[in-house]
Amino acid sequence: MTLKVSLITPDCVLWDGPVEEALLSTTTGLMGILPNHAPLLTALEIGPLRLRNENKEWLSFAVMGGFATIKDNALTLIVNQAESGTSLEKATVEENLSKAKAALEEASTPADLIEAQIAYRKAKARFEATLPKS
Amino acid sequence: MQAIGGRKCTFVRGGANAAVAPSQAAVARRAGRTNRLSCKASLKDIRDRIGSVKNTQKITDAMKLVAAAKVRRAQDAVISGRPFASKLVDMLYGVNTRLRSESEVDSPLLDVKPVEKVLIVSFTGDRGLCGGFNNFILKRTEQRVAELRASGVEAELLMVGKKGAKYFNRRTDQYEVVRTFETGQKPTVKESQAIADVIYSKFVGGEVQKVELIYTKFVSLISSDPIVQTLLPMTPEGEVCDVDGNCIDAADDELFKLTSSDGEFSVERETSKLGEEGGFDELLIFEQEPQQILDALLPLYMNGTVLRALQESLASELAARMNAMNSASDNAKELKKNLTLLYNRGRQAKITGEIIEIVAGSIV
Repeated sequence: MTLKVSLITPDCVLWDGPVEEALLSTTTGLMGILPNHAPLLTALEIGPLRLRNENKEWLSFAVMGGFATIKDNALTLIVNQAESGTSLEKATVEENLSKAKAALEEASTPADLIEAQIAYRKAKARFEATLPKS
Repeated sequence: MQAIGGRKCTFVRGGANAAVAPSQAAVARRAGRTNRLSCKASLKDIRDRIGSVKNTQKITDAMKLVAAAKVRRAQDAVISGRPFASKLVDMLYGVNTRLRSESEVDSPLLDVKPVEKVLIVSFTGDRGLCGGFNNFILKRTEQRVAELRASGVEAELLMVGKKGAKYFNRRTDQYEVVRTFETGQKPTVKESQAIADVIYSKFVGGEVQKVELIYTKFVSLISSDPIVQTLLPMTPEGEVCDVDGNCIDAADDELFKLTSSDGEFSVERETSKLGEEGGFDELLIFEQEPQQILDALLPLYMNGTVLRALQESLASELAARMNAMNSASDNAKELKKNLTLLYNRGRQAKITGEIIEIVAGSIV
């Protein structure tokens, strides 16, 4: 029994295929989805998305916020932007994360702070997407 | 070719001045018709002219090929963006129906207020040489502003694309241009986000009560329509729009007949399709408050719509350029043919004249 997952960004369909398990970062916390899940609609946070494919391998994506619906064993993720973990280079991602962290600490005005926070969360999502599933 | 008579006469005038005023051209053509001899250009002039037409043809040919390659890429972008848009519309429709049955919806993007000012976002290209593409949009924008003014509503403009920005920045005494953006060669989420942010702050800040998009819908390589689409507010206004939660003001919403998810369906088919697929069943669990979901869903939808407008506009621009360059090359070919004929005739006449002179001389 598998779950059909489509990860859709405004530009392209990043993933479309069967998986055995999906881990979503929703706005109310991490959520695991298995086949035969009840119909659900949830908002997604900026964070990592993990999918376990039929070969029991975990795939990671960095997802920049959006929505997920589950209906009839089909999980549809509609997101602002997403990147596959394998397309990210670990060294650059780590560097960007520390840069974003520094910018967050330096930010003074509210507008700067919001911007820095978003940048930090995106950098963190990318960083987590490069890590293997723990 | 009709223009030849006029063109031929311009050689006498020096050849370089291609922009002959219509009245002048008419006079010249008449002169050419009554007395062909007065319109004779030297053989060298014609030869130069053939050379320059040849070069122009090479350039227009190259531009056509470039546009053709790009239009393919732009088309792919439009097509690959379609699943996102259609899924989003489905979802929005579902959430909206659910919300309506549950409670009063209250989201800033759904606020229908008495309209005093409208923000018109119009999408032109960055460059010219694409037939009537930019002009159609500019004319449509002007027409729409006039319509709004006639009904006592103010309008301000947000121009996307250099051509439109230039046009309206020259007419700031008549039109209020708030911001300008460039279309760029490959519109991405980043660009559409920047535009959507401006629209969002204008609308939510209460500066405008309605936002309309004017862009060229990509129908096919040879046909595209300038259309007006209402972007905000997103609620149906009274009886105009009954089913679809995302569409508004269908009376002048020309896109409505094509739907916002796909270019190919009519209203009826699309709405019924939405009803089937987008209708959430009763058991659906909302992980967050529906209100919260809607608040985050609407900006996503707005960005998606702006991105699509950008992509469609770019695809149409390239298609228009391809067509314009195609007919330019055809014209150049035709012109070259006619000029070559003229040149050969002139050359032959010269040779004949020389022979006659020699023969006449030998007889005497």
